[in-house]
Amino acid sequence: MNEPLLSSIEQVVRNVERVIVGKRQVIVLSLTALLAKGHVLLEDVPGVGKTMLVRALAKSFSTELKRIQFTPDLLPSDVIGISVYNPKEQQFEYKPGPIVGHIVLADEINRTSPKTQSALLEAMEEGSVTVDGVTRQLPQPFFVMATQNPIEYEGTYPLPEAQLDRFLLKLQMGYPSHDEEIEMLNRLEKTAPLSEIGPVMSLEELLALQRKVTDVHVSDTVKGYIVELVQQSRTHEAVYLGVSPRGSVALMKAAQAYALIHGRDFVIPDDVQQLAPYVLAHRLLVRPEAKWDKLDGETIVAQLIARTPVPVRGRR
Amino acid sequence: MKQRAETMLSAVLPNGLAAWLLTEWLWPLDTVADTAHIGTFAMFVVICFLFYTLRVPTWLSALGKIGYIWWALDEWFYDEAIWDVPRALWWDGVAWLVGGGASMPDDALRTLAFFVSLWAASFVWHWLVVRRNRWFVPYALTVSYIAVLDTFFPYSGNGAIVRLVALGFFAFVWLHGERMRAKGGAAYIRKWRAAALSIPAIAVTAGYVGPKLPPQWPDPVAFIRSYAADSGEEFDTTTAAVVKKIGYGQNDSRLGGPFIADDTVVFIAKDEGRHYWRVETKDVYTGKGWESFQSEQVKSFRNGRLMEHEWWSDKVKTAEQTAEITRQDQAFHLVYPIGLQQVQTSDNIVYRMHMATEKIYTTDINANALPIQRYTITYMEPDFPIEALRSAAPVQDAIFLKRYTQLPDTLPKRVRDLAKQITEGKETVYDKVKAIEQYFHMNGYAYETTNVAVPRANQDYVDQFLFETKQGYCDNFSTSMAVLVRSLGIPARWVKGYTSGQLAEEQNGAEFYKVRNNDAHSWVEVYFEGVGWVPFEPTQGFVNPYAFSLSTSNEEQQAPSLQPEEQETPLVPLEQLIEPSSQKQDRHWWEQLASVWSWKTALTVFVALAALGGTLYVTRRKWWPRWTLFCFRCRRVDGPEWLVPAYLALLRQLHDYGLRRKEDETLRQYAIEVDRLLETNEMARLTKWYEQVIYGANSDRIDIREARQLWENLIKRTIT
Repeated sequence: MNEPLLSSIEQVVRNVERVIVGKRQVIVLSLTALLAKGHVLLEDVPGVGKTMLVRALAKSFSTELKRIQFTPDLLPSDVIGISVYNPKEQQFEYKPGPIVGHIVLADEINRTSPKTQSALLEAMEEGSVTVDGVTRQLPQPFFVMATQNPIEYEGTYPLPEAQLDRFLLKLQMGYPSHDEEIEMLNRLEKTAPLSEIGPVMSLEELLALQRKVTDVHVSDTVKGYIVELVQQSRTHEAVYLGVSPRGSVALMKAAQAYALIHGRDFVIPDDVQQLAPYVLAHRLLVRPEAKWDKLDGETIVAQLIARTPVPVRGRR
Repeated sequence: MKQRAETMLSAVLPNGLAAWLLTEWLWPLDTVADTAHIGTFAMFVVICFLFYTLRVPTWLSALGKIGYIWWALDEWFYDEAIWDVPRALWWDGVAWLVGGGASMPDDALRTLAFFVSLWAASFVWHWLVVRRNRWFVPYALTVSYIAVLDTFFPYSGNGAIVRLVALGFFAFVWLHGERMRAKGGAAYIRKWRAAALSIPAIAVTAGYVGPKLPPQWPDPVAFIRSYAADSGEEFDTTTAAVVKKIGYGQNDSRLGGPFIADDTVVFIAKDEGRHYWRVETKDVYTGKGWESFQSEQVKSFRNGRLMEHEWWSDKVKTAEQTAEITRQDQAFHLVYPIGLQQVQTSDNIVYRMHMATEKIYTTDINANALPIQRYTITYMEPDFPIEALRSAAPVQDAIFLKRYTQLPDTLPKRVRDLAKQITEGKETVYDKVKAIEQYFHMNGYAYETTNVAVPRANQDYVDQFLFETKQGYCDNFSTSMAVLVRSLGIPARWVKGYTSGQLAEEQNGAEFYKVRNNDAHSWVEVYFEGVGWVPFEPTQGFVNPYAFSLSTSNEEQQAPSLQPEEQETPLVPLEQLIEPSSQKQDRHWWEQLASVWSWKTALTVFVALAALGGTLYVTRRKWWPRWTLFCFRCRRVDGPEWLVPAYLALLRQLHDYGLRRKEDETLRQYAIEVDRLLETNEMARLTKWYEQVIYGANSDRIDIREARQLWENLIKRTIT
């Protein structure tokens, strides 16, 4: 689908593409999550440019990237901040943790203890942190990009499925193609592209776009299609636990942002089809035995899409 | 254990069904050909499949089959020791080959060939059905085979059809179960089979037991035959008559059953008045029907000569008349009125009247049958004097009486009692006969051609009609009257032939009658001492065409009892008389239509409609888009109300054109595909407007003029 993007978004995408070669779809989807006020879970092997992507995004919005490297000994207070006694003022003072920022990279999220994970996930869900009984709003926009490594299982605390669905989208970077990798080498041969790019959109503009997302129209027809897809997931024979209603909401929100990014003020079934694998796959609990048939979340979502007829008549 | 039963079933069942299907081919052979011992052949088929089921090694099964054939041939054809069979067969074969294959091979050889072909057939069947799981072709072949036999041969395939339907359901259920198993749904097969099998079982049982509608269309075979006859092809009534359903039949030894109309014209007669046309008479009543009296006596007379047969004594007043008959088919016998004097035709024909039946055959001098097409006859039109009939004395001639009052011993007593009861108080023979003839006009008897029963195995044909069914056609009425009259010791015989037919036109006093197979009829002749054979007409709705008159002196006294009927009838058109009122009320629309339309008109209309429909279907790609275009151009509405139905119509049109949208394909993806194949970008542009309408918030923002233009262009692209 080669639909032109909204021009301001196109600028951001171009800016990030100067650093990341050939990952336009991942960039667009990350921006979709950003506009939908959701968060992204990037699952891929090390070294494919996850951090680079987040840093380029942060630079494009002229904001600083906050980074939390999750380790087994990380404590919740290391994430959300801590109250420290100030003897001069004779009172406790809040020292914000790395979570307090606009764009946060939570690296290797599955390497830390569940206690610390849930601190992060609560902050993501609520948009606020509570330290010593005082609730503090996190700055807006607030966007977390978490990464996890799929092949390393030693000493990890896999995220429980209930936690996973706090992420709006789950993305994979994937390896670059042959030509893309050569292009990447060319760029990095003499310079560091990341230091060359500058901001192309202000945070205010970003906030305005986030507000515009809610104005994108979702017709009853398309809502029906979303619900149909989600309900199909609950009866699929290989699924142990289907997509929750929170999943339907997420799919709709993401579709709204996706439509806006493509310069439309209404959602079409194509948006839903494009996003469903990223929104729904990590929300499914697949039966263990289905893995023998090589069925995972992605293939099941593809089956769901193939099984659900696209509505082509309006509901009148 | 269950598993084992399941495997056994899957080995036995397909073989069993295949054997069943193949044996269905054998049963009709008994009827349509003169094949006997069908059971033994069927057993052979079963044995073949049994070997397949048990996976008997090929050499062993071949031995078994050869043994069976050997035994059967020995049993049927050769008295010799069983070891001599191959030698005998060998010599039969040599004899046939030496004969140059000119004659049909010997029965034993043909039986051997039949066995071998059954062997081959069972092999092919097994391969198709069991190995390849291909059921359709054998099943369809079997159904068509039965259908053809049922339609064109006297074979009645009712049972076979029911069995085949049941088998079809069974095979379907089985195959579907196998497919379910292949897909991994083994757990449900049992339940599914039980549910699926009970439905056809109930349906077949209900269909078998429940009441059935009569055939909704007249028999098409009669029409096809009549069409063939009309187009001048040779058409032989004697073979056609084997099909009992139609028209004039030869074999009357088993009467009963429905009678299906046939409009074929048998002959056209140029005549001076109405009378019945005789073909033959029959004398021996068996309890089921009529058979001919055994007599070799033949009376022959030459072309154009008087036949010198005394029909009546001179008490009967007669008037000489002539008629010219043109047969529409080839016949080797005459249709003639009672009172025939002489026959004239262009060929040098000898007419041979078999005295047993009074059937007149046309032959050459050496008694070889010759067909007759056109002939002129002279005959005496009788006028029977009622007083002479009344005063006729009982017949005395014992041999004559024995022949014409013959009745089977099995005739129930209540038939004889009824005859006595009807004639109670009637003095003269004539009054008795007349009372019996009139009896059928009241007392709840109805004329009926379709819903006519066949007597049960040990039931008398007449008894059934008189006391049970009380509805039937001419055969029922005439046979019953003949039997009733005979039971009183009055000589009577059963006459077959045709009614006077339908008056087609009149030219200078000559009347042209068309006589059809539908006009085949039977009536009764009663012998009066001193007068001769007198025709009577017991069938409801038919009128005796012969005149009975009173002398002037007795006229007033007798008038009320006889005259009204005789006077009224000529005023009533014949067609109405043939269809009695009781039947008319429940005539269906198609029967009414059939009575208005001849078969040919109906066929012409049908063919025209079919041709029109076919043309429209074949050219639908040319006219349907134009029609759609026209419809949507004319629509008054605008904006979304126009675009939505128009776009959906376009989707259908593209679908018919061959561009199918998969269900999970979005309109955009589809539009890209359509544009690629039609080499345009219009579908994508139009789809954007349509998306705006059905998915967007503001459907009035569309550019309807552009949308209309795009839509029309796209529709035009689909016109091929």
